[in-house]
Amino acid sequence: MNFVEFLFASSRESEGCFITGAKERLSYRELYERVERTSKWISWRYGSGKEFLLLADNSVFFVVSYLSLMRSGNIPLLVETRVGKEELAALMSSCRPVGAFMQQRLSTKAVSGIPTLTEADLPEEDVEDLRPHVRSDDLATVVFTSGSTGTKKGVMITHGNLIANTTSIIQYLELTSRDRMMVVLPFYYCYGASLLHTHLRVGGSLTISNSIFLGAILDEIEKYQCTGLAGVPSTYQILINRSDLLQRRFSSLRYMTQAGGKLEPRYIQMIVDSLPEVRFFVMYGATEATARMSYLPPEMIRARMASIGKGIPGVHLEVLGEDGRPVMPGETGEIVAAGDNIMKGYYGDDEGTVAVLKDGRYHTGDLATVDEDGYIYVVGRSKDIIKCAGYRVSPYEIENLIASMEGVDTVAVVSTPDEILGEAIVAVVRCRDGSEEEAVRTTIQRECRRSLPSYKNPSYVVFLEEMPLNSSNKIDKVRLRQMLVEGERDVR
Amino acid sequence: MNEDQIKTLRAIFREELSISEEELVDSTAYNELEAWDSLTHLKIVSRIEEAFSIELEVDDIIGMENFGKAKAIVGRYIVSPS
Repeated sequence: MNFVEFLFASSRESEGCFITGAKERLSYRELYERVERTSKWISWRYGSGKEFLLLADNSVFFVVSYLSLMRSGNIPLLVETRVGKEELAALMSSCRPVGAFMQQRLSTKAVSGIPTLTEADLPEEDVEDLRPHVRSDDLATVVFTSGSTGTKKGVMITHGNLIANTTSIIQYLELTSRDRMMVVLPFYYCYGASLLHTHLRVGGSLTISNSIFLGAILDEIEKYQCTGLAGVPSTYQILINRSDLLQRRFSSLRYMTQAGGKLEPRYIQMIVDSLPEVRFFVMYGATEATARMSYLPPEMIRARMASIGKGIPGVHLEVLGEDGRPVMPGETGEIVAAGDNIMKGYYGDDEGTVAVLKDGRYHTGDLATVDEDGYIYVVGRSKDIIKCAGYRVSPYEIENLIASMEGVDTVAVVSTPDEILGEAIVAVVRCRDGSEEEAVRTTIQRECRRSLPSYKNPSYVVFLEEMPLNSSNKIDKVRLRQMLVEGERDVR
Repeated sequence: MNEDQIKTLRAIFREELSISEEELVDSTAYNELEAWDSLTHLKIVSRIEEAFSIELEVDDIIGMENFGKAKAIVGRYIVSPS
């Protein structure tokens, strides 16, 4: 079944509102009509099975383009909107896009040779219906996510993957047509996309907020009577540290969800203590698993603080030791997932696919332990990835940039816990002999701001005379992170 | 705000947005510059608070959507410019 038909199964005739917010509004019926018209037009104009770049912020344009591409049997390639123009061009040269659906605002990033369609190019007239039938194992979308090597990996998600994960999430969050989600996470990110999918399927609605400052959503939750809020660690940390979230009383908010990295237990504690009427779901997932793999039932949050819970319905989640057997309580192993939500593979990367998909099971690279009752606790990552403000950041890319700068001898990029960002990026630098530390710091900060999107910018530049090395003579990042936490850092 | 204070404020915006002295004008606005996103906005806010030893209210953080407005808002916090 086509995932988009599955999404509209019960709600396409509804006059109810699907999207609300300060900027745009859209009813179910309007959305359905626009997706029908646009998807027919895409099939008629381009055929099916083709790839299209989709680059847009959360907007009606994103939703209509995304759903229409999948409904027409074509494949949206989802890329974060803050991607650099050159990086985007390089990424697209490794794919076969026949067109690009791009928000007008972002059209300066247009890739030469790929025709661009913006808001004004979406069709007004109906054409003949040539849309093909799709099977559940047909590719629905490719979601690009940062890998540890610095290049983005395309995660291939099928119609079946999306149907399976959407069904599971609706079940454990107990979503109904009365639910309205406050959306601050981007739809190009799997967690943000899951909000779109689940609420469309149940006949609920979304409030899209694109405010300059996250604190604005507290009034909007009340104004639009939202029942849910979904965030990454930095979402909650910003709200706790920079707004009056904990002093608020909400008349409609029934639950919050958190995924995309570890939110420190003390923050979770603050939220559940201050907002007892709001159920707090800690969850765990990955783009490779469409979005969601586990959740901790809110009733257990105090007893199992810091746990990511157990597998969601339809997902079998295990922590396996090096011998491939489930670990005993207290031992550390790797989280491995099986279910209909596991991706088809990485786009154009058989080697990468084989490395993480073994016997149909997804090896996450996340290290964890279990307790006596089988609840899972993430303890670390085997991959060198930083999660800053909800974004996956490869240290490798930043190291390459900084290593090329004047006065830099050696650089290692690591993370340190941060009150606002979840994890802050720290560039640890050994200067060349004769270089002035302050001058090098200024250069690094200036050039990083110029070349990298905001979430990849190092918050701190720290200088060391000698880098700690591990047994294989590589820079010991574990030791570096410890040194930073122990306060051996010189802020900014 | 006195000249030094405006200079400090300008330096914060110029550095965080990676733009030149000439490019930074009162109408320089959030979302028009790629670099001025919500994360950069938070960094700007933190730096302003640190530089002027003030704490900005939520409504003011939301209100600082261009440089001109930021200047006016920060000016209100600086009680007795010397």
